[in-house]
Amino acid sequence: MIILDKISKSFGSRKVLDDVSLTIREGESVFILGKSGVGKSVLLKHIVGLVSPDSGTVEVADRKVNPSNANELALIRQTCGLVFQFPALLDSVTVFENVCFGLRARDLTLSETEIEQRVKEKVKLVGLSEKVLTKYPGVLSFGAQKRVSIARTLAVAPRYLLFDEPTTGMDPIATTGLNQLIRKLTSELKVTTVVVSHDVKSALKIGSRIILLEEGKIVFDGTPEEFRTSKVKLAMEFQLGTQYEF
Amino acid sequence: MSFDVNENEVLKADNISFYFGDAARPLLENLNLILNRSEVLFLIGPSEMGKSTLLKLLTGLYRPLKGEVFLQGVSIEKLSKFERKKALKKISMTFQRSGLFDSKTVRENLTFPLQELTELSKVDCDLLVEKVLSQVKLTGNELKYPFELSGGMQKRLGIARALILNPEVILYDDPTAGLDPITSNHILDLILSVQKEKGTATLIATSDLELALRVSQQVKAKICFLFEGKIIQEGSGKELIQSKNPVIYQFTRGLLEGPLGSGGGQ
Repeated sequence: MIILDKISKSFGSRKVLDDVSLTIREGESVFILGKSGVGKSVLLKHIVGLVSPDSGTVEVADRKVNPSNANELALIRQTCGLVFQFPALLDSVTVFENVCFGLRARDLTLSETEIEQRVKEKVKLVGLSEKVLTKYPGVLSFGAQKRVSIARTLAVAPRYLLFDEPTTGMDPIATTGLNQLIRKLTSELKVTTVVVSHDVKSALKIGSRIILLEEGKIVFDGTPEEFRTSKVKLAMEFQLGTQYEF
Repeated sequence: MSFDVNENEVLKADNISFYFGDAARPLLENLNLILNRSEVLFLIGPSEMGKSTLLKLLTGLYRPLKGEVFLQGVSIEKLSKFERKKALKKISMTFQRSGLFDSKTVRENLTFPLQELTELSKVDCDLLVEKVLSQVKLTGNELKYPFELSGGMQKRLGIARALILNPEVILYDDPTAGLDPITSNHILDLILSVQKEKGTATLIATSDLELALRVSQQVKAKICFLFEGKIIQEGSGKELIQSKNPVIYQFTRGLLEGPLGSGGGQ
């Protein structure tokens, strides 16, 4: 479980998160929605200890997240994989080296054969062919780069997979592909996913739970079905323009 | 050549082709596109098909390897350097990631094109800055740097910079990318209010299909679909979604099966 207990966080005079409490259970696929700048990504960064709260506590798989303790943090990060909004791949090395980068750093006992096997398995899992392994990130499409970054995160076999704006800038086909991948990871690998997004349609399609943030607080927490019929003003505003019927 | 110029055409891509370096095939090939006075036109299509490149060709940032771009009936290529600079003041463009100068304040970002392309006095520049900032509702942020602004504010600043030379054509490159639905609607309202107020010919390249469909219906704008270097369909949103073209059908429904493949699966 991921437990955020009474988290508050300010940047300067601006309070981004205000006494937020949230428990994410194993196997859930949680979408965190909210307007730009409302603190969605900040919330995500608390989970992996990239940001520490001004007050409150964060717990991941029964471990307290404490950004000042490097050893503790390393253990947390072995269970949590964060996929950034932009793929953040290393341009100067091949896809193979990108995917095994974290793996090499974290598990020194693995042989080269085991590493190769793990890399191939993860690349296949995200829907890419082995041909990409020798390519450099720069020659791949944005969608393919995104998949490589997911493969890199999966290589270390996290229990929790956190996505920051996974479908931003993607066309409808790539969006469907990525949504199906997230769904597959949740169902096949039993990974718990937390997705920060603006993409309401994706949240309604593949999320098991939707959280809506506004002015530092959770203003909605429920299933996609409950979100559709919610009377919360922001929930209704978010759904405007998503009902275009073919 | 003025006798065969359609006065309604503000910007025209006439059979243009373009490719990057050692690419095996052209990114754009014999492409034709016309943007009329006061018109709103959407440009959509799969990623990596050259939407941004086409915009850069239309603004003269890139030069076509074949064909010509006409601005109000005059070929940009045939203009002298001086005439070209003068002509291109009529076209503005906003960039996908805002394209702002990180090291310059909001005010400096806005005065930059004025200093480069006009001979206005400092007082006149300041007045114009004030005017466009109020138009995009950013008054009071003059001394801030772009990183101090939210994503939506950065987009609005990009639009303010595009407006400052009072252009006749504005090209928007994915103006709502990365914005939440509410902020996206505000940006679109701003784009449309500018277009309505000044009759600016407006071309919006976007990866947000639903936004294009919705707004095109609202303002009766046409949507152009770019695929494999050409505009393969031009028409209303309704015509687009009713299209039997397998590429358009797959794209508009976000299907993984079809001629476009499953997106990203290389």
